[in-house]
Amino acid sequence: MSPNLFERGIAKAWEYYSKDVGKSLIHWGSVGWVFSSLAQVFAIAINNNIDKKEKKFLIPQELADGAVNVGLYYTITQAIKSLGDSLVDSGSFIKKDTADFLNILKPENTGLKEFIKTNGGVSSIISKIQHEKNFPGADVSQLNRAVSLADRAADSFSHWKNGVGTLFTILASVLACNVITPYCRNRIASTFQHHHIVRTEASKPSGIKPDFALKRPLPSAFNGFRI
Amino acid sequence: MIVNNKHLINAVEWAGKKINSPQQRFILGLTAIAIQPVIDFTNKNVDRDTREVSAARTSAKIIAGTSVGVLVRWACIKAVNAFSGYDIKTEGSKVVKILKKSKKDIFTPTLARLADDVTVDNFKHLYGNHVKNLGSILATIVMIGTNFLVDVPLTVLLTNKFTKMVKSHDNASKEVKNES
Repeated sequence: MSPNLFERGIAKAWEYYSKDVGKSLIHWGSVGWVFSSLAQVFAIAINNNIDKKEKKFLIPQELADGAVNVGLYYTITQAIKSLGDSLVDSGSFIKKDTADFLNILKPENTGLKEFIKTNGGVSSIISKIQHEKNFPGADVSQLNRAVSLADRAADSFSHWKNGVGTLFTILASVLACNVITPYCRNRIASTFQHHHIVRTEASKPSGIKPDFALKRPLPSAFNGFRI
Repeated sequence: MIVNNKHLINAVEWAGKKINSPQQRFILGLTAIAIQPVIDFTNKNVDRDTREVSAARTSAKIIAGTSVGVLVRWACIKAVNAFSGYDIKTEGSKVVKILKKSKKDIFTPTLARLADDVTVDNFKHLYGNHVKNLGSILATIVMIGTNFLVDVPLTVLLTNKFTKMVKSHDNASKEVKNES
């Protein structure tokens, strides 16, 4: 029996997100914000206790809030999480036990960061040892020691990278949702209100125009009067 | 920077293991209630009445959204956990296949392709992440309904309450001013 869509979806969720909690928070956080924003627009529209003038500001504010919220949430959290991931993978922010593991393979006259950079990052080095049981330039004793510690090093690095990614995502989401978005949405929404007020004022009549014609002409004595 | 501080390492790894969408939603809500109404109330681009309603509505939205959001996410993660029992097939220390424990375990990823670095030691941690992530995805779908059925009425109720509070405080201040 061929696997159904639901089972394939569950499998994809494992493959994409089981090792990277931060990625899940970013993607599904963004989807959640879209629906939350639509619901809030609906809340304003059906609330009879908010008068029309205020709704004209609040509805665009909420739509702007939603669009800006989702856009900024995704871009800022993605950017800051990527920064966290690259700090960890480049060896700029790693645990001592990961550094000790990498030092087993590192040539003596090479700096650790240079070694990591030359070999494609910490994840790449650990993965090579774990899966290929081989590393270019390493002698037999270095290789044997590294292979015996590879699984533990991979776990330790994975826990650390996951934790850093999660923390960076949380901090980025607070910055995006609670500082940058309210400022941006207020600027956008107040522009909406200003344009609405200008259009409303422009459409009001400017004084009374005498727009009538006499059905019977006045006697000549009144010809001197002009309205 | 090579980190050797045990407390920092434990704190960072704890965050990766324990924090998922309910905790993130709670943190967002807590920081939002401290910051957003102030930003709305000090927005000089609109008149005072609009600022007051905007701040009242923002506070209502944050309280309603955070309460419902945290509760729905927590409940969905619990539900996924209850229906994702597993057994594993191993080759040495590597886990090669995930199996359902019983027929009711509909959230067990039996079709998942397991990478070579999934071992018996780290499987429990990865599976815990999977359950929380799947619970968050389920919560997002459930919230399509609860946003309209629960969030909206709760936001309207709280907005009206907070707006009345702000207006009555304004009127009381005006009366005091007139008397003096």
